[in-house]
Amino acid sequence: MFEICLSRITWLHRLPAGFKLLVLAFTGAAVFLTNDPRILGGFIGFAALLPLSAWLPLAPIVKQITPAATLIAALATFHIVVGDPVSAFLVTARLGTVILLAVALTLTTRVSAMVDALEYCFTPLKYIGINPAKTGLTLSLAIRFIPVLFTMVTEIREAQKARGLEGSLFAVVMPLLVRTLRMADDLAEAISARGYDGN
Amino acid sequence: MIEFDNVSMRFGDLSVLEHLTLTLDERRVAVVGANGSGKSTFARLLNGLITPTEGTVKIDGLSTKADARAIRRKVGFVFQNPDNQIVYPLVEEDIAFGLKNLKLPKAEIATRVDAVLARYGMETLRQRSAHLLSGGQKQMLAISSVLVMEPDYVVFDEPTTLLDLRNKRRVAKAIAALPQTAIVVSHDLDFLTDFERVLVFEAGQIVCDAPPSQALPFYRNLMAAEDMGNV
Repeated sequence: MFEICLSRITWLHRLPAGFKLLVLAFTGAAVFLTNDPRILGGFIGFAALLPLSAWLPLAPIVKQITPAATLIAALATFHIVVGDPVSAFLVTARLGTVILLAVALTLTTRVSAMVDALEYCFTPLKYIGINPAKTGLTLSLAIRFIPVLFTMVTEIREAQKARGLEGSLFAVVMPLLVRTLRMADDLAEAISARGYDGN
Repeated sequence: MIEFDNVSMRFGDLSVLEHLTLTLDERRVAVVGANGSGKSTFARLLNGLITPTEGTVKIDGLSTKADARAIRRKVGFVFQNPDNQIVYPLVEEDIAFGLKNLKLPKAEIATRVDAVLARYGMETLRQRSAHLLSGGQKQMLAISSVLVMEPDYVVFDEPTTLLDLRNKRRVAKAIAALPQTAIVVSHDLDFLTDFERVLVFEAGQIVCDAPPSQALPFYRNLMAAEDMGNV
């Protein structure tokens, strides 16, 4: 989950991130509140037409949905094999709707816009002592540091492989933990040095 | 002007700096020393990232203890590893991070981000994911993210250590062109020859405070003498 927002601006890009997140949340809940195949058919049709209506390129859509589609296909196949094709359709329609909407959201919304929208949603939490700005920053950092952690794991695995320790999970986890904690310290210092006060 | 008045710094029982008193008003100050000599602690004291155990550090009359927020705006800090200081996934978002914290109007943020991207020839990278940048580009992003805040002083803690020769030169050129006062901690002595003043740290003390023509040979001799002692 890195920055995968497409740079070509479409009508979906212009919608506010908060609105798109709300649509995803409500639709995600709605598809699990009904068992009517016709309504679910409508939902997945809507979710499929949405990225097409914005002329989003197919390649990134296919790339994003492939892992989830494999899982959905496996679940649907299972239901068909046990003689329940209606459930196969319901599972496909529910998960497919959520995945397609999530892909449309991520391909047309910047991470920072999503974080800003979530930060706004978290505003009421300040009354119970949770700082929305800090929560937003935490989300940004989590997203930002996923590739950094992947790189770190690769470096450590290569180093351990060179030492003949490629089979040892401990040999990867321990240095990863130490490096991650040190990086967290450095990052906290850097954020502080850039004048961040969490308000 | 930067003033250290009888500054000592201890971490538990470990004394890192001892009774340091000095004034810096040159535009280019270099800090050299072996690992563990206290130079990074010295740098962190400048931005108020740490405050002294004893004594005071003042920047233009503001105490790093009492005026921490004002000091952070006045003194920018660039760390050795850019990966550990880039906060947002996209280049332009990361540069805007500090400005957003200042709650500046969006139009001003955009203007300042555009200006800093243009100054360092990074316009084409503005939409790029930070993790896809080269080491040199990441360091330039880290520097841009600090300079967009328009600090009066910029502290660089070993900014070229992780870079190849081409990128070292690029960063050195960027630092040389800065209108601000730059305090640079570095092991890269060639890069410091044009500086106005060099502080040589050894075991928490400044053992030489002179122009590069004197301080750099002194430091080389100091290291050579230690090598001889270790053989």
